[in-house]
Amino acid sequence: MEKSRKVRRIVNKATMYFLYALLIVQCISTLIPLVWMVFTAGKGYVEYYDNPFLWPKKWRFENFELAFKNIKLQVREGKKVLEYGVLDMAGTSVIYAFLSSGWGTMWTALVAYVLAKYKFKGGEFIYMLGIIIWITPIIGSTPSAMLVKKALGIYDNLVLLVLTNVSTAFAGFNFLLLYGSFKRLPWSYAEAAFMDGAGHFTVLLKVFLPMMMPTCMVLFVLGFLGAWNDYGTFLVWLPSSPNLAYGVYKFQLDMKSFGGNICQVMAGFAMISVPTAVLYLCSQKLIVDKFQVGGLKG
Amino acid sequence: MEMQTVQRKKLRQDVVKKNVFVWSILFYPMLCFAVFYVYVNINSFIMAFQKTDIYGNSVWFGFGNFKTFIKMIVEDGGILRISFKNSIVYYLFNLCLEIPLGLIFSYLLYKKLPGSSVIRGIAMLPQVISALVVTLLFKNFMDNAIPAVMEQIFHKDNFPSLLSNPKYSFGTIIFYSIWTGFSSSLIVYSNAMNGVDPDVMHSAHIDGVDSMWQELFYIILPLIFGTIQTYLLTGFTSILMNAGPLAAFFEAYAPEETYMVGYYYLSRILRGNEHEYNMLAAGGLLMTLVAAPCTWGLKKLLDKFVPEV
Amino acid sequence: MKKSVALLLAGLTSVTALASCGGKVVNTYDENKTQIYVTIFNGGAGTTWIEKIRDEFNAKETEYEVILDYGKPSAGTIIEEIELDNISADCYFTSSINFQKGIYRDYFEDLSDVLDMEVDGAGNGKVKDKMKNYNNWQAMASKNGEGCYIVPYLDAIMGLVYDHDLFVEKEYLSFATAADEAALSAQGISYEEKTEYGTTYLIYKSATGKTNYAAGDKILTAGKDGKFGTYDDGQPKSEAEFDNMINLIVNGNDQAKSFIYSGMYDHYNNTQAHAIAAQYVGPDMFNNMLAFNTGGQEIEMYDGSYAAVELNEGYKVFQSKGIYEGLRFINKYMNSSSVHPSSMNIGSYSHTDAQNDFILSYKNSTGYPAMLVEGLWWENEAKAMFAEVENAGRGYGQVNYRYMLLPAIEGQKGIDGNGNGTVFTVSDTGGIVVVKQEDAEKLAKIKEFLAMTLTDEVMKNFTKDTGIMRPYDYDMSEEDLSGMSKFARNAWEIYSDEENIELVRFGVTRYAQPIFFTTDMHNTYIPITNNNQISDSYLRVLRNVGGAEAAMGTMSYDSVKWDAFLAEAKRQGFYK
Repeated sequence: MEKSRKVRRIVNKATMYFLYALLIVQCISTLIPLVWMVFTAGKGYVEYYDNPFLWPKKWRFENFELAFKNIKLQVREGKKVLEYGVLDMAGTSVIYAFLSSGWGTMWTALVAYVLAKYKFKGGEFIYMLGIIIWITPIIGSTPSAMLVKKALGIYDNLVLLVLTNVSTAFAGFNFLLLYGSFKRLPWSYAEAAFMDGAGHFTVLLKVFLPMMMPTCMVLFVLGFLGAWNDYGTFLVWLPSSPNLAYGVYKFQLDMKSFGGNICQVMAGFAMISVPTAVLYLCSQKLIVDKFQVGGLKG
Repeated sequence: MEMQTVQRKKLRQDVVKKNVFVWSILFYPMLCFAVFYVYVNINSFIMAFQKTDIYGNSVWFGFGNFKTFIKMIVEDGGILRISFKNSIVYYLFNLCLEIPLGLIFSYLLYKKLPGSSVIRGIAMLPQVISALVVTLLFKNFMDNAIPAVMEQIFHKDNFPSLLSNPKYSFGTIIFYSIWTGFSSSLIVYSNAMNGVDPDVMHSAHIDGVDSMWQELFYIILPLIFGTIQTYLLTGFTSILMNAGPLAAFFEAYAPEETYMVGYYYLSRILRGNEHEYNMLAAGGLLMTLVAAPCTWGLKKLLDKFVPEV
Repeated sequence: MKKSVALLLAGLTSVTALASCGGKVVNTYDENKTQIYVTIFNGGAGTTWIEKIRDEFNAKETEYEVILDYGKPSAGTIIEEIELDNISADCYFTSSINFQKGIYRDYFEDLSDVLDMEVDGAGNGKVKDKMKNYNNWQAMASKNGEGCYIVPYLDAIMGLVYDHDLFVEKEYLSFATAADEAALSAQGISYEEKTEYGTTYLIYKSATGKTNYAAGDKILTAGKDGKFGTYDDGQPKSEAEFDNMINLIVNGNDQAKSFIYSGMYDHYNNTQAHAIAAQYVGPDMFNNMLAFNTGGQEIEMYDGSYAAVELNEGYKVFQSKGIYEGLRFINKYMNSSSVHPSSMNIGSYSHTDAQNDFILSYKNSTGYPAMLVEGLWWENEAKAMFAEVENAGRGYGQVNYRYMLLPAIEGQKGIDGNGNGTVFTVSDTGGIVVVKQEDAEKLAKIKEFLAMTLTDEVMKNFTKDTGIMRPYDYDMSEEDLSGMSKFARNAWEIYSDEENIELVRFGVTRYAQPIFFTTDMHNTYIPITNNNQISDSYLRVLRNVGGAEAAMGTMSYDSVKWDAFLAEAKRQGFYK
C-alpha cells in the first residue's frame, strides 16, 4: 500500500517535471525570434542567405544606420512636401499609442462598470449587442466609413480619430474582461457609500475605479503595445501623420518589391522594438501580477 | 400615507438619478456606435441583398447572394467548405490542446517550481515584437532548417517543407498557433490560481488530495472556471473570424488546404476581388445569424459551472 | 513600479515634444503654378528618363509644373483610391491594364486625342500608328468600343532565363559542326577548327555582318531563327532537343536542377503554358480563344475532332488540343523531380527567394538551378542581391543571362501557320491613365506632358535606362544598346525579331472580354480544378490531379455555368 503510494508520487513528480521541461523549452523558443531579429540585423545579405541561423561573422552596424536613414516618408501637404524621419514618426507613435490606449481603456472601463453594476432598460440588450458585434465579420464598409469620416473631418486627423474610436467600447475581450471584474466586486461597497450620501459618480470614481486601476493599467500597457505596432490605421485613415510602425511597414514593402535586403528590414524592426521592450520590462511586474481575467456570468 | 408618498417620490428620484448617471456615461459611446458602426455598416447590410454591375449601379438581388454562399458551402471540395472544416478543426485544437496545456503550464508556474518567476517574466515578451519577425523566422526554420537537418542527419533528400506542403501545411499552422499562443494565458491563468484560497488547498490536502491532477481537476479548475469560461467563449466567437497566421505566411496566396473562413474573407479583400463582396456580405450576415444565438447559448451553459462569488 | 512606467511614458512624451513630429519641408512648389502630380511605376531601376522630360516641361511652362512621385500602384489600388475620394495623383504610369471598372464608371479621361498626336514631328505619324497592335489595345481600353482610356506604357515578356556562359562552358547548348560550315560561310562568318578532347569545335574569327560572338568563342548551332550569332544560338529547337538539354543538365556531372521558380507564385508558370498553347494553335487563334470565339474557324480538339467554337459555348475552347499541349508542357518540365526542390515543395518560397538562389547558384558546383522562370524586370528587382556579389564579377548586368526560347511542339501551327517561330507571352503590359479632371486647361497640359513621353527618343531612353520595352515601334542604336545589361540586350534582340518571334499580350485580349470583366469568372484562364476548385496556379492542380490528361477532365465551366456568365454580361448591356 505504502509502496504503491510512493510509486505514484514518483510518477507524479516525474510527469510534473517533464511538463515543466516542456514549458521551459516553449518559453525559450519564444525568445528566439528576438535574438534572431537582432543578429540578422547585424549580418550581410549573402551571409544571411547562406545560412539564416548562424551568428554574424562580423557585425554590420551599418544596417542600423541605413535603416535609420532610409525609414522615412514623404507626405504632401498643400503645395509642400513634408518628410518624416524616424524621430518624427516615433513622436507620432507615442502620442497615438498613449491617446488611443488611454482613451479606449477609459471608455471600456466606464461602460463595463455601468453595464455590470446597474440594472436598467436596455442594459441587457447592449450587452448582447456587444457579443453580436464581436462575432460579426464586416465586409466592404470602408467606403462608407470614409464618407462619414471625411464629412466629419475625422479623416487624417489623429486626435479626432482616436476620440471617436469608442463605437465598440461595449464589445470585445477587454470589455468582457472588465465587465467580469466589475461583476465580481460586491455592491455592498456602493451601498455603504450611498448611505454616506455619495452620488453615483462619487461611487464610481472613489470606490470602484481605484479597485479596478491595476487591471486598467494592464490593459492600458497592452493596448499601448498594440497601438505602437499598428500600421493599418495609418495606412487607411491617417496617411499624413505616419507613425513608426507605418514607416517600417512601408520600408519593408519597398525592400520586398525591390529585392530587399532582409537584414536592413530586421534592423528596422529591432529599432522599433526597443521602446516597447523597455516599456514592457518596466511594467512587467504590474502585468505579471495584475493581469487577471474573470468570468462572464451575468 | 404621506410617508408612503415621500418614499415613493424619493424612490422615483433615485431611479431618475440612476438613469441620468447611466446614460450620461453611455451617451457618448452609443452615439459613436450609432454613427460609426450602425450607419456605416448599413451599407454592408444592404450590399448583401444587392448586385453591382460594371457601371457601379447596384440592383436588388434578393437572396441571390445568400444562395450563392450556401451553394459554395455545400459544394463538394469547395473552398468555403474546406474553410469551414478547417476553422472548426482549428478551434477544436485550441479547445482540446491549447487551453488544457495552458492550464497545466500555468499550474506549474503557480506551484512556483524553480525558475517560474523568470518564465512568467518573459512569457509575454514576444508580444512586443512585430508578428512579421516571428513568422519570418518560423518560415525560414520550416522551409530551410528542417529540410537541411533531415538531409544531413537522415540523408533524406527532398524533405518537404512542413509549412507549405499541402499535406502537412495545416497541421503545421495549428502547431505554430498553439506553440506561440500561450503567452498571455499563462499569466492570466496562473494569476487566477494564485487567487485560490490557501485554506481551501490545505483542507483538500488533509482530505487526501495529493497528486497534481487531483489538485488541478478537483480544486483549482472549478474555482477559476470564470476565467476559463472567458477564454472558452473568446475561442468560440473567433471560430469564424479567425484567419490564424495564414496571411503572415502566405499573404493572399495560402494553399487551399489551409484556408479558414476568416482567411477566406481576408484573402478576398487582399486580392480586391470586388465581384465577391456582395456575396461575402451576405455570408457575414448568415454566419452572424447562426453564431450569435450559439454564442449566447454557450455562454448561458457555461454560466452554470461558474462558482458563485 | 507604477512610478517607473509613468516616468518612462513622461520621458517618451517629452522626447516627442522635442522631435515635434512635424516633419520637415523637403520640397516647396512654385506657389504661382498649378501642380500636375504624376505617379510613376518604379520597377527598381532608372527613372532619369522621365525626370528629363519633367525638367523640360517645367522649364517651358509658366503656369503648370509636373511633380513626380515613385511607387508601385496597381489598377485596383488606384480605382479604390478614387472610390474613397483619396486619390493622390493626376496621372499614373503603371504596370497594369485592368482599369475597365474605372473606365465604365467614368473615373478616367479619354486619351484618344493623345494617340492622334504626331509626337515625333508633323508628318512622322501618329502615336497610334506606332503602337503595336492598336486595334487589340483599343478594344481593351475603350468604353463600349468608344474612345481609348489607357495609353500603353511598357511590355514585359516572361520566359526561361539562363546563364549563357555557364551553358556554353558546361556544353548544355549545341555546338556548330562541319555540317554548319556552308551556312556559316553564307552568313559571312569566318572561323577556324579546333579539337579539344576529341571533339571538333568551330572557333569564331570575324564576320562581315553583326553577330554576338567575340573572337575565340566557340560557335553554337544557329537556333530556331536559322541565323548564327543571334539571341538563340545553341538553343534546342524541338522538344526532343529540349529533352536532351534537360537530360544533360540533370544527369550530367553537376547533377544540376533544371528549373527554379517561386513556389508561392508558381502561377508564373501559367505564362509558359499559354505560350505553348499559342505556339500550338497559332497566336491569332489563341487570341480568338481568349475571346471564346474561334471566328468560324475549326480548331483541333483534344479528342482528335475539329470544331468551331462560338461565344455561347465559349467554354469549349478549353477542350482544344492547344490547351492540352500547354498544360502537358508545364507539367512535364515544371512538375518534375529535376526542378529545384524549393520551387516544388515550398509554398512560401517567394519570387525574390528564387531570384536570389538563382543569382547565388554560381557558388555551387553541383545541384545548382540552371534556369529561372521570370519576367524581364527580374534583374532590376534583384539589384540588392547583385550588389552583394559584385566583387565576384556577378553584379548587375555583368552576367550573360539570356532567355531560352520554348521549343517547337510536334504538330504546332507556329507563328506563321507552318510550324515555325516562337511565342513569348507578355505578362505585364502596363498602362498610363489620367484621372478625371475638372479643369479642361489642366487636362490639356497633362496630355501635352503625356505626348512628350511618347516620342521615339524618350522610348529609347526608357529602354536604355530600365532594360524594359515599350509596346511601340522604335529603334535602338548600337550605342544605346551597349549601355544596357547583357540580359536586356538579349531581350531587345528577341523583342525586335518580328519575323521569328511573336508576342502574345495575354492581358490585353483577356481584359477586352466583357464576359470576363463583368462577371465573377475566375482570374485564372484555363479552369482546371482540383476538388472542384480552380487554382491560381495550373501547376498546383496538375500536381494534385496527376497530370494534363487527368486535368482535361476537370474543367470547371460547363454549359450551365457558362450560360450564367453570359446572362450576367448581357444583363449589364454587353453582347447584345
